Amino acid sequence: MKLRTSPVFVEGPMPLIAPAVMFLSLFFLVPLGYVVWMSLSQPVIGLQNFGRLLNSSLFASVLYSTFKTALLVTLLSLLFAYPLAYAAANGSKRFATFLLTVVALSFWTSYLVRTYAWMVILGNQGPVTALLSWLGWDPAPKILFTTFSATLAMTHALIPFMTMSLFAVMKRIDPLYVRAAENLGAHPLRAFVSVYLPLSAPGIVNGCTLVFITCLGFYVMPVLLGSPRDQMIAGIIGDQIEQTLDFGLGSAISIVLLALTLAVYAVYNRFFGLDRLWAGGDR
Amino acid sequence: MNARSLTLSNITKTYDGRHMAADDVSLDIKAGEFVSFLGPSGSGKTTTLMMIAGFQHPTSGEIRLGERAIDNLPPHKRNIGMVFQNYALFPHMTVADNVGFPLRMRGVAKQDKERRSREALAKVGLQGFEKRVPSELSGGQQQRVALARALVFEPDIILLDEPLGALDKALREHMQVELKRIHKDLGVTMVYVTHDQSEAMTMSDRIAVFNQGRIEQVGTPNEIYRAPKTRFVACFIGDSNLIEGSALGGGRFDTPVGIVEARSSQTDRNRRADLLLRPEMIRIAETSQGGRQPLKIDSTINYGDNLLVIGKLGSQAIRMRVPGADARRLEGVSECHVTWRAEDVHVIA
Repeated sequence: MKLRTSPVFVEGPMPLIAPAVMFLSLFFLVPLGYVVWMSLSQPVIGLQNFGRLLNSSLFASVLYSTFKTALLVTLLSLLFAYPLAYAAANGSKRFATFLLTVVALSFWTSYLVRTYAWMVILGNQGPVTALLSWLGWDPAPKILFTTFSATLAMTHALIPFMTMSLFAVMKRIDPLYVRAAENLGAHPLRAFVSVYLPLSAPGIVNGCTLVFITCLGFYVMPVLLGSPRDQMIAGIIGDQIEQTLDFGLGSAISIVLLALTLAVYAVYNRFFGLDRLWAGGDR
Repeated sequence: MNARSLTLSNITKTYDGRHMAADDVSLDIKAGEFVSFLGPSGSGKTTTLMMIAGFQHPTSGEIRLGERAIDNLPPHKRNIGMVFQNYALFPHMTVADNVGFPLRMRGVAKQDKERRSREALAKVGLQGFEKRVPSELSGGQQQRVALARALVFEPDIILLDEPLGALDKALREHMQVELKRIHKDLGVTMVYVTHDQSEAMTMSDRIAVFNQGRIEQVGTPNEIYRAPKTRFVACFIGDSNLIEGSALGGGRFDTPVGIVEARSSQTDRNRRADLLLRPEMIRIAETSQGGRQPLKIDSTINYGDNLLVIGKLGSQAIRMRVPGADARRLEGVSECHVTWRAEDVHVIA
C-alpha cells in the first residue's frame, strides 16, 4: 500500500490562504476598485477629474509640500533614530531593553492620543510656550498649527519605525568588523564611517522607505497640528470628501497618492528587493 | 618584513576584582618566533591576545613590542596584524579593498597600495581574486585573504586567534603547512592562539600552555611533550598515564605497578611524585619484566595505524598505544606483558 504523506495539503497552500484572500478581496480590493471607478465616473464618466488635477497649481504645490515634508521627516527620524538604535544594538542587554521599551511605548500609544498630547504641550497655554516666555522670549512664538509642530509630531510618530528597522540590521553586525578595522589602523571614527555605516546601510534604506511611504499618507497630524496653509495630500482628500463632497476629485487624488506610493515601492524593489523590507535587511 | 620581539611582564587582568582572567602572565617572544598560546577555553589565552592587540587593557603589568611600551596605545596605533577567528573580512568590500584597507588607513598612495595588495595576495596564493567579494570565497580562501590583509602593511607582529577553527580537517592541515611556509618566508613574529594541541605541536617554535589565567609552562613542543612541569600540561598535551609514586632514591620509585625506574634522579627519598609514561612508550614484551604482572586488557580501540589498549597493571589503569604492526599479537589475548625504557618515564615534581 502506498502511503500518502499529507493528503490534506495535496492541493497546495490555497486552502490555507483562502480566508486572507477572501477578506482582502472583499474589504480592500473591491473598495479600491470602487474608488478607481468613482474617480473616473463622478460626476460624469471620463478623465476630467485627473485633468483638473493636472491643471491645478494648488494640487501641484500640495504634492510638492507633501514630498518635501515626507523627505524632511524621514531625514529627521534617521538623525534621531540612528544613535538610538546604535546605542540599543551595541549597549548592554538591560540598556537595550530599556531603550526599546521606551520606543515601543510611544509606538503603542494611539496616533490621536499623541496628537492631542502635542496640542497640549505646544499650545499657547502649554509648558513649551511658558518656558520660552520665562526665558525672556517676548512675545513667545506661536508653535502650534505651524509646519514645525506638524513635522515634529510626525517625526516623533515615525522614529519607532526607523529605530526598529535600524536595530534589526545593526543587531546582526558582528562587532568583530569594527575591531578588525581598528586593528588594521583605522581611528574609531574612521572605522565607524568606513565599516559600520556601510554595513548598517540596509537598515537605513529600509527605515527611510518605510518612514517616507508612511509619511506620504499621514492625515491626522498635519491636519490637527499643522498650518492650514501647507496641507499634505491626505488632508486635501479629506477636504473633498467632507467639505466639498466632490467624491470624484477626492477619489482621483487618492489614486494619485496610491500611484506615487507604489512608485516609491517599485524603486525600492528595483534596487533592493521587497522581501528585504520586511526581513530586516537580511539577504 | 620587520620582525619585533614581544615582552609581556606580569600581566594581570580581572573584570570583577576576584576572578583573574589573566594572572601574572610573563613571556618573552623573540623577533621572528612562532609562539602558540595553548589552553582550554577560558584559560586566558584569548584575553592575553586581546590585550596585546589593545582591545582589552591589563589591570596591571606591561606589554612591550620591540623597544616600545604599547600599553597606552589604542589598537589602531599598535601596528599589529591580526587574523580573527571568523576572519572578519569586510563583507561590503572586494578582496582587493579588504587587503588594501590597512594601507588606505595609513595613507599609502593608490598605485603603491594596489601593488602591495597584489603582492600580499600572491604570497597567500590568491592572485586574480582581487575583484571578488568575501561571500564568493570558500572558507580556506577567506582565511588566506584575512592573512594577506594582516601582513600587507608589514606589521611588527601578527596575531592569529584560532584561525583554522572553522575549517574542515583536511583543509586545516593544509593551511597549517601554508601558515608555516609564510612564517618562514616573511620571518615575521607570530602569536597563534589555539585549543588544538596537535596544531600547536606541529607549528610552533615554542608553546605557552595556559590554564586558569596562568602560563603553566613555556617550551618547545618537545619539551612540553616529553618533560611537562605540571600534571595539567601532561594531561592536556597528548595522551598520558600518570602514575603516583614515592621516591626510593637513585631514580627509583615505589608505585602501584611495582618499582619503576625513571629518567630523573633528583627527587628526595620518600617524596611523592607523579610519573608520566606516554601510552606509545609502552611496548609488548615476550616475558615478564622485573617480575612485573601482565597487563589485563579491558578493551581496545582500533585506529587503523595504531591500537589503543585500555587495561590495568595491578590496580593502576594504563593506556597503551600499539603500532599497527604489533597489533596482531594482541588478537584474542586477554593479557600481555609490557615493557618500557627508564628514560621514557618523566617525573613531574
